Amino acid sequence: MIEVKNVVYAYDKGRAVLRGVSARFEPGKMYAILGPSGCGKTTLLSLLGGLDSPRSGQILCDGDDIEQTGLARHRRHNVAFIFQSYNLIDYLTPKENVALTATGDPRAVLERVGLTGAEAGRNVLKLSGGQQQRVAIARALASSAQIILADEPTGNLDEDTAEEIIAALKNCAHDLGKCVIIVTHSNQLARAADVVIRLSKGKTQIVERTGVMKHAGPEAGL
Amino acid sequence: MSLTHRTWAYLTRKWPQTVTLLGLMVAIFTLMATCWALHQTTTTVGANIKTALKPSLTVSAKQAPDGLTADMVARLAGFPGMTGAYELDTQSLVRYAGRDGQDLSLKPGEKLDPATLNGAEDLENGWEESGRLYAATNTAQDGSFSRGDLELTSGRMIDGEHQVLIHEDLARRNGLAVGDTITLRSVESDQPSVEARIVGLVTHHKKQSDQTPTMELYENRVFSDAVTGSELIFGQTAGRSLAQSGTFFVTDPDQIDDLMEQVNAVADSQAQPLRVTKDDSDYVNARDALTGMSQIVLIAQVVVVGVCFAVLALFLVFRQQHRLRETGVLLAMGQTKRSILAQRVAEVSLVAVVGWLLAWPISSLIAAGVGQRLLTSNAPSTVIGLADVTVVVTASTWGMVAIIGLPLCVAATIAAMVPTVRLKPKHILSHMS
Repeated sequence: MIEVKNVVYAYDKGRAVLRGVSARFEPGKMYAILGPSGCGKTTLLSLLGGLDSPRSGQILCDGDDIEQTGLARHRRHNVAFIFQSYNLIDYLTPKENVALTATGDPRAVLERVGLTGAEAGRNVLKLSGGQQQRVAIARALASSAQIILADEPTGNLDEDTAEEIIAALKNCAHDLGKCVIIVTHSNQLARAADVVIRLSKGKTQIVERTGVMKHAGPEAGL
Repeated sequence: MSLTHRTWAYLTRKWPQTVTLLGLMVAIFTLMATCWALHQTTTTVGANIKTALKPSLTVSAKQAPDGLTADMVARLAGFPGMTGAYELDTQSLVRYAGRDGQDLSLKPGEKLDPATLNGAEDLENGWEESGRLYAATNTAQDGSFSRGDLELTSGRMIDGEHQVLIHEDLARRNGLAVGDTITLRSVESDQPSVEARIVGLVTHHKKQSDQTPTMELYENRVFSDAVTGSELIFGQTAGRSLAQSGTFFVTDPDQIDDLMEQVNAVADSQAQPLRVTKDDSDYVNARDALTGMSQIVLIAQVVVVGVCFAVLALFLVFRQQHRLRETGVLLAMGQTKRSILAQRVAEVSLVAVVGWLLAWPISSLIAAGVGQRLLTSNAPSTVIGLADVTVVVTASTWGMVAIIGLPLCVAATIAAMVPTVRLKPKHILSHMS
């Protein structure tokens, strides 16, 4: 479980994008963070992933402050990223990209996301966008991390492929018991999420998939 | 996935980048090795010319009745700072006669006014029609022969006592040949005549002036061993008086002035007047030229190293900009900055080692060609044999290039990574997007 507590974040110029945000993310659920551009969605994801530090507030992973345990350690053991632009290492094959984080056989994970053995050994840049995103998902799945952070994972994909990727992410949460947190503009993806977090003007509004608003305001939690 | 696997995958699959880096490395190591080899060669040549140019002190005893005695020669040759090697020589105006006692016919030269010659009043009548004898311990090293003014055309060089070389014109005029004997008698002393065997004939290549007096014409010169000269001037003194002057070679030409002072002190203590002069002009000219060139090469070395590694660092910075995404992704996946830096260092080091190996034959070729041209164009012509010097990239030079070059490659890699390493992962990733 990962939790943000009263997190404040401001850019160097002083403009605060997150003003005392609190939220809790649990395993086995898929979360969608929605909001207008510049509202701090990606910043919140970066803070959850230990890519940056908040000005104030805490981020707790299984009860431990990730600043205390170390951000690199948090990134290495607790979280896995899926990016909009896939961000695969272009001189490694899909199998090798997955092997960067894999604790087991990368081919099994690639097969799970629908990539064949031949595709697993090709140059990643020769794969389609959908296939590259599958490799990125496989890379996240292969790691021992329980939290998967995805930034616009379907942003560069057509509707059919996006549907497949959403299904794969949903499986991660429901079948593998991982906590999947997705930043998106996509209503299609938001509809698939178990929980939707709307971020606006540095505040959160959290909605269960049932449509019932649980909390609103900067102190909101789930 | 191991760092080694990532390093190897990058180097082999991003081969255009690897080849570019390799080319840069080869160029850097070639330049470094060439400069180093040149510097080492100038140092070696500088050491060699100390002996090759034979700087010496000449002790003249021309005004001394007994000349340079055997005791004095032994004392001077054994002086601390002397190599122990020496050459003795004596010159004298000499009349030549055949077996029959008749004077040999000489090529007539310009008539010399006796008033123009110092000490002419002490000479025997008819001295104007004499030739000149050059007696030396090593005739082949006489300047006329070493410069090519004179050349041996038949017979051999002098290798024993009572042997002479005469001009082929003198031989032709008097019907003489190699193996014949002539009689020599100095007009400058009252010593008896000395017989000597002709062992070789010479000719000259240097043009002479029409005003050259008879005694100075090449055709009328005779070269003999030192003993013959000594006997002509000083008589049969059982080897006590050896020559009019001696050339004593010194070990370290840079100490020649100190040595000259000490030899002068010895000379001043003698009853007979001795004059000491130094002959190190060739060495000084060569040394100064080589020192100048050595300094230029040293500066070039420093500049080459500085520029090469600035270029390498810039190249790596530029390459790092293209690998920013990779760096951000690896950081996002929990790789440490140290691990990413280690991969970059491993990549550059591997390429540097291959570049270093490839640069050896290339730099050897360049050093031999360019280096020799530089040496011969900058060093004075007096540096004997410098044209034959081959600039070689030795194993020690090569080792030095590795000892200095490879750590600098690592340093350049780390320097190129510093701007990225100082960024937070989020900044790298936001820069990517």
